[in-house]
Amino acid sequence: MDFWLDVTAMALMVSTSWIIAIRYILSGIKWLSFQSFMLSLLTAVLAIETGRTDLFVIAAITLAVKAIAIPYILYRTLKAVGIDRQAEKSFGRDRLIIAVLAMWAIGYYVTPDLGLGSGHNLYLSISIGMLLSGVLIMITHNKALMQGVGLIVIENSLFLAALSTSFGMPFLVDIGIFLDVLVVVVLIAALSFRMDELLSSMSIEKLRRLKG
Amino acid sequence: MFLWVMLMSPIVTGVACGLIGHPKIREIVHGIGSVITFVLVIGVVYEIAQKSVVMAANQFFYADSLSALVLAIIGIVSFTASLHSIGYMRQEVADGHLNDVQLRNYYLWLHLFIATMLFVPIVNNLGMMWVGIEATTVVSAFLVAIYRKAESLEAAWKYLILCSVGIAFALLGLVVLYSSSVQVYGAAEDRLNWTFLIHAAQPLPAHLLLLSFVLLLVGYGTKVGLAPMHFWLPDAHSQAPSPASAMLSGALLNTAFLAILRMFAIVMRMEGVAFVSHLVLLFGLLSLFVAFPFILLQQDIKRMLAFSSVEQMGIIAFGIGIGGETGLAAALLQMFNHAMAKSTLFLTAGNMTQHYQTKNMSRMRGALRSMPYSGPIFLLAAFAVSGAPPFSLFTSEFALTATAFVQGHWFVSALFLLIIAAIFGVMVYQSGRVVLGVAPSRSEIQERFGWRVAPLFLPLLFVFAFGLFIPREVQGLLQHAALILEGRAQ
Repeated sequence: MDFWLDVTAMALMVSTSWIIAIRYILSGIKWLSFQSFMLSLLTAVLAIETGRTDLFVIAAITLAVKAIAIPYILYRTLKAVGIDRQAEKSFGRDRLIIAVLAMWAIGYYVTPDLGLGSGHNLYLSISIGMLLSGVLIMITHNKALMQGVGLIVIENSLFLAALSTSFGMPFLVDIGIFLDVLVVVVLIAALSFRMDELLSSMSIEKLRRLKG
Repeated sequence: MFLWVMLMSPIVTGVACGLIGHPKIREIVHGIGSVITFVLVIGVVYEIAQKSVVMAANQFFYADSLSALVLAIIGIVSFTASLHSIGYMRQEVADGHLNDVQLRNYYLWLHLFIATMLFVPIVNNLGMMWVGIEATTVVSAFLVAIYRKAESLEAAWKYLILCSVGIAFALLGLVVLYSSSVQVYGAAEDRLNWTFLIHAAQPLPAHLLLLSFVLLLVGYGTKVGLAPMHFWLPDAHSQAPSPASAMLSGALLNTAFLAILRMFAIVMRMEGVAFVSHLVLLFGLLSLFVAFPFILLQQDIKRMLAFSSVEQMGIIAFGIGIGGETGLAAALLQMFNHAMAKSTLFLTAGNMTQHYQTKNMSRMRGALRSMPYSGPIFLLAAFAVSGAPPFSLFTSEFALTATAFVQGHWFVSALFLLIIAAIFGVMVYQSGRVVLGVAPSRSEIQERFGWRVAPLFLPLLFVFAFGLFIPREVQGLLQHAALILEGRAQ
């Protein structure tokens, strides 16, 4: 089991770092789906270890909602506006990679002082790193869909934080969060599509009318 | 049982309005549904006032005096805005701003928005409360984006993204709270319940509780529009249709504030937490100072009102930060009074923008004469919201400042008085520009009494009445709510 825990930890770090540096939005969506899949795998492994049935349900929903439904919605939107769209970044790739390394370092050094949770504390560090990286994705990318991707990375990081400190939030709360996230993604997809239609671009740089 | 029916009423009404194709029948269903929802909400508030606590569904729902206050605000504001919508939306369709499909969607989202707001104050679990607040963001973002214009798209986008990111930090705060609660007491489903935490906060690690509070304050503070997290607010509140703006400003901000207050009450159960009050007070003062120049230089009438909401949330936060039973009660009263006055202002501002065909205040003049109902009502409500006697907001702001001085916070109280006096001047100047003077000749058409005017008298009644006297029952409710916040009652 420990082997799988290590694998998922690695996979979460790699996928998050990779999403920041990708060139095409399509690969961002693919890596997001991969990340959510790894999260679902991790939940399933923990469910086997602890023998808790509710974690199996959560793992299945994570797979269905975050690894399949959400990437599919984003993919459909991307297909509608043009599949070969690039993910515009406002910084160069090398600078972003240094920034993301800094995020992992912050996550690693901040969490032990908290004295939070027991056991898998490495995951708490990873989740804080992921949270900061998610914010970094949203700040450095100009395309509306990539901001959606960043938001889901943030959601994933919070899910991981709850999972690593207390085996997830209370069951009903987790279900509610999944529902919220799904509707948020639908809205992001709809708004991105309309943005492309109305402003002939998905770049949020074009959203500069409202001031003062 | 009652609570379930109250939640289901707007959902059923909204879905029905979304399905009905015939405009006349849809309006009737919408009207009847709004009345039923309003009656049910008032019924629940009355029940809470009688029993002081109402629970249902195995403690999933829990409503106390604090919930009652917010429920009353949501009930009155959304009832007024719903009835106003009938006239306002007819005009929008007639002017060609909306088509019938958009109108159908509008009524659907409007009622779902009411349902999500009603859910927040009555759930026991703080995690479910988060789910409810995130749901209000999503549903109201549909309302903000209803006009197919670049501006409304931009407003909806900023609203959705900034609030979702902000509220993600609140979720992190809840994760910290929940895991520290599980760490101390062991795992169980009720570890994030208000009813559990309110008695159990003492043994929790203090630094984790404070961390969680700060994350929740910043996260939900984004939704409340406290500076410096307020950037989305003027956009969203000015681009939504006016009845929706009235609900966003009048009802939703207070709903999000309630989530902060719940956490505040939990943290106040600990020893030596002056830091928490100071932090809330700081955010309050900052909001006041940030809002001032934007109100002063504003040309767009709805943006001006939106910045005034930032200012008002600052006043409420200031009151919470001052604390003490009278300070907290005054802040809660301010919440109610502001909701009444601000929703009236947004609805009349909607009538004016339709009348003058512009939101630019330099092109609106003489509303007192050309709009015999909306003009005077706007002026009265503007005086009320800036804190002039004899209106209700004067009472609460006076009580608040008096408490601050009595408690010996000389410096911040002086700062507070200075800035609200300045904002008073600016608000009166700005609204004077709109209502005084000679109206442009093409807008000489007189305003008629109808759906766009009649509902305004309900919130206006409270603005007047609460300025003169506050019924004993309402006073009791406010005091009890203040005691809950102070940690001396449940």
